[in-house]
Amino acid sequence: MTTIDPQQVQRLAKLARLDLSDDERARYAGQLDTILRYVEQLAQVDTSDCDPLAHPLPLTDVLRGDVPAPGLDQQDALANAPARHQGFFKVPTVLDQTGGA
Amino acid sequence: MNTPPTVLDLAAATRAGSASAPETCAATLAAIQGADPRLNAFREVHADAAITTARNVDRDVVAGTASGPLAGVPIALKDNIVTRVGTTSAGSRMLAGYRSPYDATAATRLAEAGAILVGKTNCDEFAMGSSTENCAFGPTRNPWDLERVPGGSSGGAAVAVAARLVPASLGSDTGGSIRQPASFCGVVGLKPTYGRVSRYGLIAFGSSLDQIGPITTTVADAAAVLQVIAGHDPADATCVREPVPDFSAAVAEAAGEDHARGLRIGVPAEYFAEGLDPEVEAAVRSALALYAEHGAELVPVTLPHVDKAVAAYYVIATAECSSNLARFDGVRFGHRSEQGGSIEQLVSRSRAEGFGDEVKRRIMLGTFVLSSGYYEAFYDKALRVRRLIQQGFNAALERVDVLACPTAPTTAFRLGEKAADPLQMYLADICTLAVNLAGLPAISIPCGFDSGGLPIGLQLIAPLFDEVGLLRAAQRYEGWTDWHARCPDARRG
Repeated sequence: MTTIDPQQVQRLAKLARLDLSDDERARYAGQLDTILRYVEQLAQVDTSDCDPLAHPLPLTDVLRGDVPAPGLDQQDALANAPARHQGFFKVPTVLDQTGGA
Repeated sequence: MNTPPTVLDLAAATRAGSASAPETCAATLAAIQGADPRLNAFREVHADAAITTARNVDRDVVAGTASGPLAGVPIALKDNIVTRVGTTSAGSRMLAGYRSPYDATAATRLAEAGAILVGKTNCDEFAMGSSTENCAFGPTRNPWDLERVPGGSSGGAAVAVAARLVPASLGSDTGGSIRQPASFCGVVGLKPTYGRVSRYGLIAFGSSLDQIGPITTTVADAAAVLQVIAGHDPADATCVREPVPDFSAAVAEAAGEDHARGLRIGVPAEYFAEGLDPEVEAAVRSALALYAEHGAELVPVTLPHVDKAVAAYYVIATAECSSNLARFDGVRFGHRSEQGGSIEQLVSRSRAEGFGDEVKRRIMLGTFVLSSGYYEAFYDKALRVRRLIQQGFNAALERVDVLACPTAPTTAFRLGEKAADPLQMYLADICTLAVNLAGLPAISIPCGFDSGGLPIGLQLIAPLFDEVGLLRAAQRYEGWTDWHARCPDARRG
């Protein structure tokens, strides 16, 4: 049986880019474990003869003509950005000066 | 109190010049202002834009060119449907103050039909919840009992209609988020077939499940709004090129028939199982008896594996949500942490501060079921069970025209009652979730009240793209009963 403990929660939080507090980690571990215990009943169903269904309609490769059309202009695209610099989205330094990533 | 006008009445009266769009608009804004401090149904009211639209409609009426099917009809939008007017926050601190640079297709189509878009209604954060309590901006209250939840996640949209503040609203339904609040509030809620209505401009939660649909007081009004918003949209690749039938004509025809002969109604045993409130069961069984009295044939059916729908849904929906909500990074739009740090810290802190408790829990669960080592056992397994569930519905719907069952296992529960137990909250959607897994159209219509005076909903489910059959079946029941005409103000007055 799979269990979700605070270490597992910490691993998931890192994957999901969520900076959780200690309190949240402890709480989510218990709650996610309860939900997971419930979800494990899926294992009781014999699915050996059926394929996964990712989408309710039989749609495949919906294509449109390769025709240029106007999109968002730069000003609209940047309008909700929390920080901007000379027409770009601004983020903290990604590569530091000493060469490390 | 006079019966408030329906969508169809109001649009006809506006076009004919017997109702004035600016007067309707002013009355609506005043009604919202009067009632909303108690209800908290609205996130934002767009008074200036609404008044401008109403004046434009009026000008067209005077010029003799007003032809919109929704001319002069005030409509509210759930706060996860984007518009350039005002802000769209999806009930989240993450998007507080977000101004969309474009309009959702459904909103554009309503506006083109002459509707007056009056504002945004409250919802569970990113549409994740069943009570409209998971909101960054406070819970919405049920107008039938202010100490109870309105259901969710489209709780504000259902309350705005139930309290007769607007004759129609748009909600979104990923696992029951239109139908369950409609049931809890005593109004009509329609979830169209997946792909029937464009999702362009609907803030994504579960992209293989989400669908926009109307909440109204009558079946005919639901048909009239669906007529406007349905149909192919090149901006949404999942919005299909299926022909859009004349829903309103079908409903009008059904309204003229005083019998239901030839209608075959499947009654799935699985939805009358333990956990169903006895008063809800009694009301739904009475509704079925009424259909039978009018000549409909009731057919017992089974839906294999539907008892696993909650489990499959919470794997699939959380997987899709964890992927969809990855876009919120504090860089391009949305909340940005002021704590500083590296780019990775900025993203992680912005997300931790911007998302609420339930959204974080679902992102974590979705991340888990998609993660290496667990993908096959959970995500892939849930998709296989999903196919079996869809096959079960298809087999049942080959034998009958519609399925009938409760919309929710209980009436509206108390504020806070399920807030501490996420799994109990998920089980509140047990009757509606499977329909989204299968992509089917379904509707909730009022079918009675419990001994506490709380509304009960009857859910009807139809084959893919058969909204005509669904609406016709619903219209027949509505024609024999007056549950839909009861409103909370009338009860008090």
